Amino acid sequence: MSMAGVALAMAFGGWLVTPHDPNSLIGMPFGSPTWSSPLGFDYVGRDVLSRLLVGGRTSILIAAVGTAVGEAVGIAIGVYSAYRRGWVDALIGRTTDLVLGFPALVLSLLLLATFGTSMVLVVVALVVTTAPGAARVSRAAAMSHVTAPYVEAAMMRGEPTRWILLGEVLPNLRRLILVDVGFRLTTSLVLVAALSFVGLGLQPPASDWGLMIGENRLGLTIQPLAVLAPSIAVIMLTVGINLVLDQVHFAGDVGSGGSEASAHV
Amino acid sequence: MPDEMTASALLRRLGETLATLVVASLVVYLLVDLLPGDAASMYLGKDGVVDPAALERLRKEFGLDRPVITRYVDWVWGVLRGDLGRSFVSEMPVTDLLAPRLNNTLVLLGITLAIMLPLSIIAGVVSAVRSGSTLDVATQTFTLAVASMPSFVLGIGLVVVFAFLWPVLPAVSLSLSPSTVVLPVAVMVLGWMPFPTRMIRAGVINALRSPYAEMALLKGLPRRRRLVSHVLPNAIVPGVHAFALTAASMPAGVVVVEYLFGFQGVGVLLIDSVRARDTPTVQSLTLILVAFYLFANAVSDAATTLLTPRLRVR
Repeated sequence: MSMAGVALAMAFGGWLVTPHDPNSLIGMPFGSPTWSSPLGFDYVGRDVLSRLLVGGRTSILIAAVGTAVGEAVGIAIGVYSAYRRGWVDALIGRTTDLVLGFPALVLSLLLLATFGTSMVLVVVALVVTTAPGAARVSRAAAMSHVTAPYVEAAMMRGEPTRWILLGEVLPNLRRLILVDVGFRLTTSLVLVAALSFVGLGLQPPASDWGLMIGENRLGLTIQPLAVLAPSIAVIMLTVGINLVLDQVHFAGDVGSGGSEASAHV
Repeated sequence: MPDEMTASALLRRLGETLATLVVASLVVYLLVDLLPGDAASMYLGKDGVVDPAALERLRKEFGLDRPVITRYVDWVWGVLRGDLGRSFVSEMPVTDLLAPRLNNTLVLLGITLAIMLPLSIIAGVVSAVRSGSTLDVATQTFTLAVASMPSFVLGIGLVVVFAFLWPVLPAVSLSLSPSTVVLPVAVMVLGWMPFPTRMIRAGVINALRSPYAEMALLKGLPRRRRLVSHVLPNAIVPGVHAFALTAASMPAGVVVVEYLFGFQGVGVLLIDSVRARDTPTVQSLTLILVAFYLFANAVSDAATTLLTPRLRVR
């Protein structure tokens, strides 16, 4: 909990206390630490500490927005699919299977190759990779609710479908959705970091942990801090979130296998 | 005849896989076809100063003046005959570009799987049998921590330790040799092992608690024999399922690990092709990776069917 907390605090509060401008060249490329730059300099001579402090914000926001939208779309599709059944359900089921057939990173790369690299596209890629899984999980969860007496009662009362799904069924899926969102958020965070690392996510000169690891790794022997500092930040964030989820998972005993594996990009 | 039932279930599964692959290939092709500016204009250079007549000629040469469905059918026909088109960048046939890379990646993946599959089964069974012991707790904590890390961060950690602090292994793996595959394989094994291990552990613990396992013990079966022939066949099914789910993240893992070590495999080729927007190469690579995933899933389903007698009759 505290690990993830520190990483988040650094990502969102860090820009307030940066000692230098994260984009100005103030030292030697791969320069060693000094009193005013305790983490040294990166491959073009920018302050590593300042870049570290602002480097989490954008990718965490991208991951959060992508996951939230993807999850919302997925839940809407999943719950609707469970409610409608029949050929609509079958069609949606086949389609989600198909999209799940594309590994997330490969699907993102295909999108980026087709339309070019941009932040919006990374969000779109996250939505497309998050939604099918969320749809499948929420469909399975909603299945036991759509035939429940309280839903039938609502149908008798003549409530519109939209309201039955949003007001009656959805509140009962709350806890499951919470756990699912958590798992998919870590997956998205790792995916964004991986894309930036291979140079297809956030583009230079942006400050981003994944990008910093990628662009500074050639100087690993000369200035290891430029790579290790962002690596530790990423580890604190992802391991921290997973430890929290692991506790929630066992506490709530909600079965959602597979998320750990897919979190590993 | 139960065996015929099994065979027909497996055949149907194979058919489903092939059908999904066909739809997937259509999606890959159409998505790339949506590109603003087509292959011909990409080939001639960036928009703007392109001679319209040359563009028209090239379109005809590439066959881009024909409807998309005809082109798709041609492309699929080519893929089936082993002709994947020509790269826009190197102008080499994609198959020539791909063959050595695919070979490298398959060797890397083969070694990884040969280590990972037995290791995760052993680790899962041992920590289940000794569940609650220090060894078990240590394994669980370690695997959860490793599973949460992005593989490139894990890889950099290993590079720092084994290539710089204690320099016994090379930091980059440009070619295929015994010393260069160690670190990439280690990253992938460590990254993919945790989930199956945990599933197998849970499966074995469950099976050990069941009445039939107790019965086996009561009738005087040695513990080892009970574990191997009674508990394991049931406990392995969630493990197989976990292996299939892990297969979903394998292409991504391969891409990132190859990039990290500069390994000349399909992953690095994919990244390079995406950067250069070399669509024929991207199309082929995506199709291969999707086929790999679907194939892994079909194999896992087949294994589950063979391991679970209940599922054989449907």
